[in-house]
Amino acid sequence: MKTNTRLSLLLMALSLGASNPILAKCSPGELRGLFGLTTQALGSAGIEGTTLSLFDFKNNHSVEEVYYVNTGGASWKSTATGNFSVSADCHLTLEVKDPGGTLYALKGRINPMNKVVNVLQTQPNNADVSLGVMRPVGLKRCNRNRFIGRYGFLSQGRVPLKNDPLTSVPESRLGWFIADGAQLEQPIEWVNTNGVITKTPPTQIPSDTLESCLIDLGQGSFAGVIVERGHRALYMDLAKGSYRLGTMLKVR
Amino acid sequence: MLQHPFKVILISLSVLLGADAKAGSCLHIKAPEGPYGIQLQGSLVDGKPYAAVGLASIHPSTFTLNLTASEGGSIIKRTILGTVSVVDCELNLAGSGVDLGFVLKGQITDRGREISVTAIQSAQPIVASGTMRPRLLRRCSNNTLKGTFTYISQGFDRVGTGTNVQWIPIGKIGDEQFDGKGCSVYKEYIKRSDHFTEEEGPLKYRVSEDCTFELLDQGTPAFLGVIVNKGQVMPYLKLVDGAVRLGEYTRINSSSTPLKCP
Repeated sequence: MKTNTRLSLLLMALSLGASNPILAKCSPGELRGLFGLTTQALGSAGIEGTTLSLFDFKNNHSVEEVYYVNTGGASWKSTATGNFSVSADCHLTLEVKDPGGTLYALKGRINPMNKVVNVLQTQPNNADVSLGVMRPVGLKRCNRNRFIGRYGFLSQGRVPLKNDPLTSVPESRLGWFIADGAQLEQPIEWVNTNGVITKTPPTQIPSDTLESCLIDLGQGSFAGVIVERGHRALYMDLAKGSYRLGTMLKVR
Repeated sequence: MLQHPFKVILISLSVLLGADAKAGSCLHIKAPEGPYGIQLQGSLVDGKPYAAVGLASIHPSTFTLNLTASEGGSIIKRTILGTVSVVDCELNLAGSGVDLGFVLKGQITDRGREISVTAIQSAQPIVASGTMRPRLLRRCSNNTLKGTFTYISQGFDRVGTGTNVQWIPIGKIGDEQFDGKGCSVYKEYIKRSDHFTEEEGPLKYRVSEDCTFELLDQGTPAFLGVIVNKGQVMPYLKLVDGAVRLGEYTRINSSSTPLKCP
């Protein structure tokens, strides 16, 4: 009898869990803390720019952003502040303005299971289509120990030709490195530049992990952000005219 | 004198860890084997956009890859056969015979749950990269998709012909609920160039035993996808001529309300 009661309760709990629509619902406080995001802006000529952002979602529906932009032959770092809201059906609406008053607006869809947010840039008067996947940092702050170990990496985008900087071509890079907190030891990298394959020799790249969880790679060559507690990092190329985004993911 | 068993364990561990560090922590990562879903996005060297999804069967030394690609808006299906090698977490899928020149290089990450891949095709050069993930299911049915997913997709639609071709960028985010019986309902936000719209509606779908699936538009396959990671993730490709769009579903839950498709 006891067993039957327990079994009934278990079955009831399982059926409630399986059909419970609350599993897909969000509370207004769904987003808290640090989130990283990279986006590429697609125009009719292909990739026309890239961004890397670190958002800090506060309790009072305000949000602060530190971001890098690479577009129109220049890259820069700036900050923005604004507000966000999360609806019961897990939709994010976010608007921030930089110190010059320029608006940046996003619409997003939060996956309540892992707090990953698919986002689409929505500000008016912009023909580019920018979207990306915002991922939780999972930490309040970072130090060099959060970016150590072996990572595989992959990046892709458009880069200017060395002998003709006004012409850009597609490029992908694949490889791995070991990060020790101060530099990346990179034994191999496969580079595909417009169909021409090269293999780069072993190299060391200085790295600096900031308390904000942003990463500086190659002393200003790349900007990155640690997400998923250092299991993954997103990065962008900051070289002039080089619109290339990448992901670094731990081997284990 | 016999060593204390604790010491033996510690020494063995330190030897193992030392070897692990030398090899860049790639030891004990299992080489890929079995069915894997693959997604690629990039461009042809003439600048036209490219996107593809596929299902690869990886054996210890050979592979078969069924790849469906949109190459500049033309849908092309290929079966590629070749050899597999894995050295220090670097995967190499090299086409053989008529597929000589096709190479897919990969970096095994996340304990083998995700492989970052980039295509190298000397015969038909492209710059395209993406991800390979294990299927982790023996077989699939319509019921495998039962539940709600979020999705994101990005790409281009071709407009015009001949020398007047233009590529219009398009991006979408949305949700889709699958009832497990062949009917789904979606709601999405779309940005197409500078136009922003919302759409929703039902779609029929069918899942094959090999865990590929199609979303049907009035009976015709409009999207092709592949179920990976035990049904948690599903990359997909728009199958319509003139579209080069790749997307990815991520599962939110496994429950669904009854749905009706026309």
